[in-house]
Amino acid sequence: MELRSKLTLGDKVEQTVLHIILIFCTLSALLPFVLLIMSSFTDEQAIRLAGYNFWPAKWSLYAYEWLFVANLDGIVRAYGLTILVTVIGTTLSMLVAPMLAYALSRRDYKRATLFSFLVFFTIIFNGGMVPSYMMWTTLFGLKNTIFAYLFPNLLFNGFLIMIMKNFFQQNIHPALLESARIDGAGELKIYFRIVMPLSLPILATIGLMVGLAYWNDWVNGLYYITQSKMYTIQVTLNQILLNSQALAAMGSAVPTLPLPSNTVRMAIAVVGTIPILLLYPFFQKYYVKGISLGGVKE
Amino acid sequence: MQGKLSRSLLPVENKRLLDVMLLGILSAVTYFLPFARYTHRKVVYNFNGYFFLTGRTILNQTVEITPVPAIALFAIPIILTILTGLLFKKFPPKRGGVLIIILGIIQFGLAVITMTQLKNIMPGVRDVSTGFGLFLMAVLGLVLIVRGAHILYLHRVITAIDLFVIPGGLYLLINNYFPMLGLIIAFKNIDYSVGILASPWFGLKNFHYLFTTADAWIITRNTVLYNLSFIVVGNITGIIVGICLANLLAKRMRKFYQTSILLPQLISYVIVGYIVFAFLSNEAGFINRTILGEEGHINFYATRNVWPPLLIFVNTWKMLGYNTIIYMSSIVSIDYNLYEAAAIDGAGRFKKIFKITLPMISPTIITLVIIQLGRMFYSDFGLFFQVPMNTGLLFQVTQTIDVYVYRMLMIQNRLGMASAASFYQSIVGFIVVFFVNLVVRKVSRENALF
Repeated sequence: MELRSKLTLGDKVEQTVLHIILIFCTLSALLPFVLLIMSSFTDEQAIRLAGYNFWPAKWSLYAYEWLFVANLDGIVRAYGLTILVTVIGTTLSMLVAPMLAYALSRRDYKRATLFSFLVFFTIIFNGGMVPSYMMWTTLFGLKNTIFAYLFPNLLFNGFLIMIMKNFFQQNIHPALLESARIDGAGELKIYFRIVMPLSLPILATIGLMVGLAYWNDWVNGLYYITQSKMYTIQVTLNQILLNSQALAAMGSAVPTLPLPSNTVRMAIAVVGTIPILLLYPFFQKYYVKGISLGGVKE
Repeated sequence: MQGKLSRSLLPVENKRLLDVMLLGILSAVTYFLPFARYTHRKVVYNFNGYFFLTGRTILNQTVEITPVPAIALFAIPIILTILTGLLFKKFPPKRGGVLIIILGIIQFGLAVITMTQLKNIMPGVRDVSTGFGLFLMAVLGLVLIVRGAHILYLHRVITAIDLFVIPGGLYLLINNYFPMLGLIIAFKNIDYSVGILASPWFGLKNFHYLFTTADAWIITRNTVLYNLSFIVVGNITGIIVGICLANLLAKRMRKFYQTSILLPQLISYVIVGYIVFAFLSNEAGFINRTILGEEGHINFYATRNVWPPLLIFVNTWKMLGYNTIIYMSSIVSIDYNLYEAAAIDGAGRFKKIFKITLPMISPTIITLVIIQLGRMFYSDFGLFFQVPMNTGLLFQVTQTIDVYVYRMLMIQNRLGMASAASFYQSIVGFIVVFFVNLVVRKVSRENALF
């Protein structure tokens, strides 16, 4: 491309306009987060007087004090459960999903066409929420167990399998597998020693997508969890929204600090978002890749 | 050579399968082990399998078990299992293996069904729990399945690659295929106390009730119209910002812009709901307190007509990064020579966009729009549930099919309505995908999904 010095006046105007449009987009993407974070650091009384604002009328750490000092148990439990669910779910998913995708990608696998269709069919047709709910609760008794966070819908879906299948088909050459087989490697060994290491980029991308879905999930909690001891961060937030009692229930039985209801809900939202914001610069490369993979037609 | 080896190592042909016979006999024994148990005044009462056949009265007639002839069904797979083991050499081994798997599935299925139906079999008993005999029966069924699969594996009917499919396939079977059978719920008048299968048929009455309400039209209209607006607004903004990003010369700034625009995509709709609340809240919202002030005050959560544009805005805000990245990566891959040739011919900036960029990315646009059109009957539950904060006053303009199903199922306990709406969504949703794809196949074959 041209060098900056060769830019004509028209080009310079164009670049300025582009910057203006993009700065507008960036600000509208970021400012809401600023409002959320600033609100959580505002004094409860100041919010009653002047409302939520981008710059606190009066700074205060009271909401965080309430969360982390007075009601540490609640927040640690919710946080711990969120992390546990994310870690277990992502690990399980990464064990099961690539195996299926790999099998479907094998050209010498005679049932690949049939099973690929069955996987694809789940993308375009499903039984709906009511039968799923009835199945998980009555047949599997998932209600109020950690499995309710892990299994319904989140483990993986047909779309992820299709993306991975395409990756394997394009990047793992059959000759490579053949040579490993001649050297005496069994199917499991080929999978774990050859296919997996060669597929690390896509595994990181898909793992990230799955992990984020687990971290952000509140729908399964809404349907299957009724005990407040089993709430994750997202479910806690959702319950606070649904009824104002939930916030008080989260606190200890004998309240040591009065509840700052306006700010503390923002503080919990911040606490649930911070890990993502902190890790984002490191994983954004994989995330962007995942999006462009999803947009590519199979 | 390999064939010879496996045959000599693992003799499964022309022999009685003692282990399969043993499994059958063990299953028969479980009949005499506790199928159910409960505690009454600190005394544990166990009910063996055959009690269910004969019927029984315990505790001075306070607890009764009426005879359940269906329990006799257990005898069929058990007897057949023993016979299969005994006569295995008479079968072609592959067929024998399949038979053992089927028997295992039947046994496992019967045990599981019994577990779920215990409360109905023993209506007089509170807090009845499953006894270990029944568990053992289920486990033995699983062992039979594994053994049958093992036989098939030895005969190369099942290969190692099939084993790779099993865990993932099992999950899709349970999570995606099993609920498809549950679609029949929409035609039943579900009575939880007798279970789904035993509930009486209801014909089309659930649908009749659903479609005589005004809700049916409202949720359909909302779902379809919001989706159409999202498709138009989302793709246009995505293309515009994508073009801006792709034409930006400052590489580092491009990365910065891209990273920040993507941020809303990463957070859940619960948090989006809170952010929107911070802006719109009646008492403390930023817009009401700081921008509009006392005179212009709007009670957003009670004003219907602001919500359609608002929800479109929030959806665009959240999806912009996603759409932008897809379009940008499509634009970046356009051959740069095309632009240079056009510049030599005297094409201006806008002409280049309309004559080169847009035609070149049209396959991407078409593909994305098709995918989105195919999902026209589905909505993002989070957007429509969290952002309006589940406010009843706003349902008329915010409620979509997914939200309606949730409310009927979980809040109002109107299972008939919920299952009818859920069925309606599945079937019409599928027809839409199918139809869209049919049209696309006619117009341009290579863009069709299937």
